Amino acid sequence: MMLSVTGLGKRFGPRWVFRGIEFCLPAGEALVVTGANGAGKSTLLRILAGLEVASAGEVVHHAHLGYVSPELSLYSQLTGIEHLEFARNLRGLPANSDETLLESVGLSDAQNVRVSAYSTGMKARLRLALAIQCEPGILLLDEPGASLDEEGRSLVERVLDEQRSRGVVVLATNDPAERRFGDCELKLGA
Amino acid sequence: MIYRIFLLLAGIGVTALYVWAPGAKGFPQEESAKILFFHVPPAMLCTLFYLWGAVMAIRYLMSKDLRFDVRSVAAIEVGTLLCVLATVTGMVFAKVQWGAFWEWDPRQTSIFIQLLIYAAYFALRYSFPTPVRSAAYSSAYAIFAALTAPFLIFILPRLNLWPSSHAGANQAVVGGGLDPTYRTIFYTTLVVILLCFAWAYKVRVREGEEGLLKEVSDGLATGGSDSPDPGVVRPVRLRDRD
Amino acid sequence: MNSSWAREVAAILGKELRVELRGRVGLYSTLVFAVGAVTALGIASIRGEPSPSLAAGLLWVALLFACVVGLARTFLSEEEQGTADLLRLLANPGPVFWGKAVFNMLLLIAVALFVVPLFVLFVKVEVVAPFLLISGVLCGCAGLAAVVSMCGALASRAQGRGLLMGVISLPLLLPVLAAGITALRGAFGDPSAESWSAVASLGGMAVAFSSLGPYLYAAVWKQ
Repeated sequence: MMLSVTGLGKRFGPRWVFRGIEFCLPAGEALVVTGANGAGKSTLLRILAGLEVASAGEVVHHAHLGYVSPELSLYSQLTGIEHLEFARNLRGLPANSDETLLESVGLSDAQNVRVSAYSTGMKARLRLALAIQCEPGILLLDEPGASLDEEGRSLVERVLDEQRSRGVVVLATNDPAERRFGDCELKLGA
Repeated sequence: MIYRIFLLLAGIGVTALYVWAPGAKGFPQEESAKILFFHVPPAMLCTLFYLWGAVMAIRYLMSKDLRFDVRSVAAIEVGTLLCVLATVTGMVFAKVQWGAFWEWDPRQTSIFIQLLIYAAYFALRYSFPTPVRSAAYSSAYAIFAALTAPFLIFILPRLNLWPSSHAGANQAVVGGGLDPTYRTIFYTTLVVILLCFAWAYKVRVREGEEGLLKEVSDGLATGGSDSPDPGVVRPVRLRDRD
Repeated sequence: MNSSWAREVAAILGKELRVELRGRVGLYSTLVFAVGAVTALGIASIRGEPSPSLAAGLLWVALLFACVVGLARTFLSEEEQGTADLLRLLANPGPVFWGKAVFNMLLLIAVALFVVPLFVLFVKVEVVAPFLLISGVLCGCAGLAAVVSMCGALASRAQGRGLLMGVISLPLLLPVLAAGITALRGAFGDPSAESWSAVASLGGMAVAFSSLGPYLYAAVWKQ
């Protein structure tokens, strides 16, 4: 079991955003999380990523995590390649994989440009590269297709296919095209 | 109830002892130097409560059990009360003995810095939106603040920033240089003051725990505003695995 | 300390230096602030040189305000720009704290290198023990940077973090300041000051605060 969640709940003050969530994901599975705005999709992913503390329940996993979200800010003073270098040093990964990785997300031309000059879509690609850099067992994607062009979306598709051969995917989306990647669906706020 | 009656009687007893005790030898004003019964114990106990606050903060950070956080705040609140008492009685003491309310004497300085450090604790504590985050950050601060205590109490007075007027007096109290009657009265007062403030601590902890219980049950009982407990939420399968 | 710690500390420090060298906001604003403060002190002492004790106090006040203004940025800007989440995903709290604390120390020492000679020039104070002055300023800067880093870490996720930063760091800096004043009193020619033991206690505070820092930061890291 790559990722298992029991009795997970989150509340802000007295209001529960969601509660009682349970699932187990074996390797190769993709879970799609859907729900109206404010149903807690992003919050659930943040909890799974360890960025937020759950109010109830627990998350168990034994794998590297990759997390992509439009809310994740990058360092505007650093270039694309410097981001990957910084992350690689922190993660203790071997050198010289940065250029290939940037090329695979289509940022070769912009590798020495500072992120402050990146477009929204380019930032989304860089976030994706940062997440898959450590070859994560668990990939958490929050609205991955948002702000991406046609080519970017096919990149996401490719990443999703690769990820299923490596581990599990949790995908928060309301896009019907992305929803079909899921093996199962968790409806929040239903 | 019995505890409260005991405290009341002990308080009366200590006041009687205070009136009856002879003037303190070795001070310029022997009779009024008796204020040290009510000045030295708060100064000693406030550090004790602050350290207890830090110990509870460590336990909170290790267990994430909010009841330890309640104890940590309670101890720091009581400690701050004692710190204010020690500072104020110290000022009166200084006025009578040395002729000025404020002398920048080493003990006066270090206890005042301590008071400021813990005043900032409350500023930090009330700056966080959620109770859990506020508990974690203020616990970390309480531990950090306690680490400054040895520097303030032991190292700072030895740096010769001041021509100290306090050294002799502290020697007399801490080093047991007082005569036996005096020592007995001093330690009795210390114990009674400790019991009084331990009681205040207990009351504060009880109140804090009730608040905690209320806050937790608010959410749990009603599920927020009006939504009932939905039970278990599981994903539904969209397609069979290939 | 093992090699992965050292590698992570170096990565954080490298990132801070790189961002700082490109933006220069931190170094520049800290420097302008400190120079402004020293100028004000110079004007105040036109009509008479201050005593060694007062001069020592004035110099530390200038450095103190500069560091509360400039050094907190290292921690606060991660939250303000939203990059703190990225850092939490990639790094461990201990190395983050140390990387940033070392960066703060370097920044403050760079500022002091400029400000201390300027202070001696403007306030017309006589330096009788230059080596004592240098070691006092170095150890004091380490102590200040350790405390300010810890306070920055604690205030970074609060509401009104900039204001809170000043409120919590000033009282905690007072013990460092008191020892720093004693150290510099000797350097400015007060023979009664126990300056070397003050330098030692400044070093002690710097070590104590910066070794506790990573543990406390780890405790609040993902709250």
